[in-house]
Amino acid sequence: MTKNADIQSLLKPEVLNTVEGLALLSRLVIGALPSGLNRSVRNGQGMEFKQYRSYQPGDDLRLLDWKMYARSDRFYVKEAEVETHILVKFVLDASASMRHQDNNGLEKIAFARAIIAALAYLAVSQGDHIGLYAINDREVRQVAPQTGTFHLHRFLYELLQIQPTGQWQSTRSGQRHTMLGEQKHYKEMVICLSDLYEENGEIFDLLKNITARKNEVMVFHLMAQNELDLSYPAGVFSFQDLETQAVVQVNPTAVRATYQANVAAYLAAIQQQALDLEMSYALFKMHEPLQDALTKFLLGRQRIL
Amino acid sequence: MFLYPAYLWALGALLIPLGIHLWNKRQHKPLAVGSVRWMPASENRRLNRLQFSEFWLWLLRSVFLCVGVLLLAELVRVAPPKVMPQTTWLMVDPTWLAHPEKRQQIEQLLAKDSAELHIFSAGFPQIKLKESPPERWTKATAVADYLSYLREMVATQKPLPRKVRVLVQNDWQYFGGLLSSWPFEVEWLPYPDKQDRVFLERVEKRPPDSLLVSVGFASEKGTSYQKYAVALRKGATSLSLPGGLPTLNIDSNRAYLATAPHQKITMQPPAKEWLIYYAPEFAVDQTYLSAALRALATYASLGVSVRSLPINGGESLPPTASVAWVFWLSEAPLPASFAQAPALRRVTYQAQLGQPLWIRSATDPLHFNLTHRLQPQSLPALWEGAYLVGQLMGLLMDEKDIWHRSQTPLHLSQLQQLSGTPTTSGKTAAAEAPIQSYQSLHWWLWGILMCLFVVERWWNFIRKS
Repeated sequence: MTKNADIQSLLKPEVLNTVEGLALLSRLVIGALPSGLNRSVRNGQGMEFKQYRSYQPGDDLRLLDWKMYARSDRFYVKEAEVETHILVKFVLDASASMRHQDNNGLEKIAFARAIIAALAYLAVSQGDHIGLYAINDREVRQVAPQTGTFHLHRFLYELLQIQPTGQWQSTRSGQRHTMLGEQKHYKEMVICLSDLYEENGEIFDLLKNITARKNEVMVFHLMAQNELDLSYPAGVFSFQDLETQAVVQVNPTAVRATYQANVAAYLAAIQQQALDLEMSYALFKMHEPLQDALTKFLLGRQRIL
Repeated sequence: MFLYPAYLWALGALLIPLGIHLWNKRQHKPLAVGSVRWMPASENRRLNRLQFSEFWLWLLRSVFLCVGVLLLAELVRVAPPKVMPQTTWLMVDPTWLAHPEKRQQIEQLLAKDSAELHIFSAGFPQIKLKESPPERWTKATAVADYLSYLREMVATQKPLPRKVRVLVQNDWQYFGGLLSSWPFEVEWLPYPDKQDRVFLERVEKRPPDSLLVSVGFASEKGTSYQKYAVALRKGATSLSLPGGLPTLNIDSNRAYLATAPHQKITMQPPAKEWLIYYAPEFAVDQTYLSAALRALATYASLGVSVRSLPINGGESLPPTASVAWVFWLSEAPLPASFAQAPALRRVTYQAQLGQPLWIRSATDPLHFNLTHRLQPQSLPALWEGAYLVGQLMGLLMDEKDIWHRSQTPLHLSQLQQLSGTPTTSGKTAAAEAPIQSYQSLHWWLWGILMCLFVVERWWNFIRKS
C-alpha cells in the first residue's frame, strides 16, 4: 500500500519527464509486484542441465531419464534451464489527443510513458528485447528492439522525446508500418498504448495486420477520469478537440448522463472489436494504480511462453 | 422624487455586474480534450455559455449601484407642508392699517370668517386690528412682492394656514397672473373691489378721425391686450367699444373707461412708421429685420407700424412727420433726400465685421451703420434668444416709450409668435412651478451605501478564502 502510494505520488510531470524519474518509477512498480510473477527462467528441456527430479505421476514418460533409472532403479526426470526471452514492441499513439489532461494535471502521454517505462524495465530485467514505435501522421519514431541496460536508457530517452501531435497515421496514405512486420526469431509481443480515437478505423487496421502474424497483441486503452465521466465543475465550457480542433460549448452537468452513455457504448464497441481480433484489451484509467498494467503484461507473457 | 433625474441614466451601470455574473465563470480559453465526439452537438450554442452565478452577490452589487445612483440623482422625499386645519390668514400690506377706509374693509373681512390678521413683513407677524398701527411699517408692498412673500411664507412658516386671503391693491394689469400651486388655498381680494379688471392700456390718435384703443384684460391667469380701431367723431366725448366693453370717455386729451374714471390716460399722437427699404439681395435680411421690429413694436406697445418697400430706384422722401426710422438695406447709397431730411433716423448697411451691430456715424448723429447682415446664416448668434430685439431696443432708445414696459428679452419662439400676430399683444404666462418642500435622504443613502460596501467586501473575501 505504501509502495502504491509512492508510485502514485511519482506520477508527476517533473518525474515522468526525466529518464531518471522514469527509471525510478519503473523500479518501484516492479518492486511492488507479487513475487513469482516475473520469472524469466523456467525449467524444461534444454541444453543447460539443471537437476534431476523425481518422477511425478502425470509427467510425460518421454522425459524419464532411462540411464538414471538403470543406475538407481528409480524414475527421474532430467531438467534443464530454458531461456524464455521474447521481443516486446511498444506501439505508442503519438497523436495530439494524447495530450489530454486529467483532473490531476497528468497528461495521457505521461501516463503512457510511465507504463511503458515500467514494462520496459521489467522486460529488460528478464532479458527481453524491447522496441518502441511512436506513431502519428507526421512521423514514426522508433527505437529498434534491443536489450540491456544501456538500451533501456536510450529507450527511455527516446520515449521522452515523443511529442504528441497531429492524428494517427491514416491507412489511406498508403504508408504501412513495415517495421512492425519484421518478424524476428523471438516470440513477439506487441503492446499498443492509445486512447483509440480514430477516424476511419486506422488504429485497428494496424492492429489487425499485427494479429494476422499470430503475435500476442495487447491493447492498453488509456482513458482519463474526466474523459470517462465528464467530471468538470459547474458551468458551461468550450471544449476543443486536440486532433480536429473542433470546438463545442457544453454544460457538463447537463449532458453528463448522455455523455457517459455515449462513452460506455463506445468502450463496449472497442472491447468487442478487440475480442473479434483476438487481442487482449485492457482499459486503463489514469487514476488507477500502474501495477494492473504489469499484471496484465505478465499474464500475457506467460501465455506466449 | 429626484432633484437630478438625469443621473438615472447611470442605472445602465447595472449591466456591468450583470455581465460579470453572466460571463465571469466562463472559460475564455477552450479546454483541450482528447475528443469531443461524445459530447452532444445540440449544446453547441453560444447562449448556453450564459449562466448566472452567485445570484445573491449579484443582487447585493446591483443594490449597491442602485443606491449610488439614487445618491447621484439626489433622491428626496416630498414632504407635504403641515397645514393647520381650520386656520385662515388675512394678509395685508401693513401701511394699509393707517388708512381708515382700508381698516374698515379689513375689519369686515376679519369678522367674516374669524381669520387671523397677518401682515406682509418679515416673519409675517400676527397683529390685532385694534392695536394702533405701527409706524415703522411705512413702505407699501409692491405689487410684485405678493408672490415672493407667499413663497417665503411657505418656506419659513410652520405650520401653514389652511387658507390665505390676500388683500391686494387692485392694480391687476401689473400682476401678470397670480395663479400658482400653493400648499394652501389662496384667495385674492382686490381693493378697491369696485374697480374692473378691464383697463385702458393705450389710446392713440390716428389721422384723420379714428382712435386705436388698446384694452387690457387682467385676471389671475394673466393679462392680455386687445386693440380696437374706432371712429372718432369731431367733438364726441364718449365712444362705444365693441364686444360689450365699457364706454370710452374722452376728456380733452385724456381718455378713460366709464368703469374706471380714475384711470385716465393721455391719448398718444399718431403712430410713426419704421420703413425698411431693401434691395433684392437683402430680401431675406428684410424678412428677419421686419419680424424683429414688429415683435419689438408689439411687445413694447409702441404703436409703431413696420413697412417694407423694395428699392426700385425711384424712392421719394417719406413724410418725416410719420416716419421715425428708415432702414436702408442695400449696397447702393442712401438717396440724398433721405440723408438731408431733418429728424429722420437712418440705418444703412455697411459691412464692418468684428464691429458692433450698430455704429453711429461720426458726422451725422441721426445716421447709423448696420455692420452685419441679419440672416441667421451669416451671424447665427444674432438669433439666439432675443439678441437682435435687444440690439434694436438699444438702437431705438430715443423713443420715449421704449422702456415703459418690461425689458424681459423675448425668446425666438415668442418673437415668431408676436411677429405673426402683430395686432394682439402677448400674454404673460401665469404658470408657476408648484411649491413643494423636500426632505433630503442624503445621509441615509450614504449610510446604506457604506453598509452595502462593507457587506460586499466581506462576502467577497469569504468567497475567495
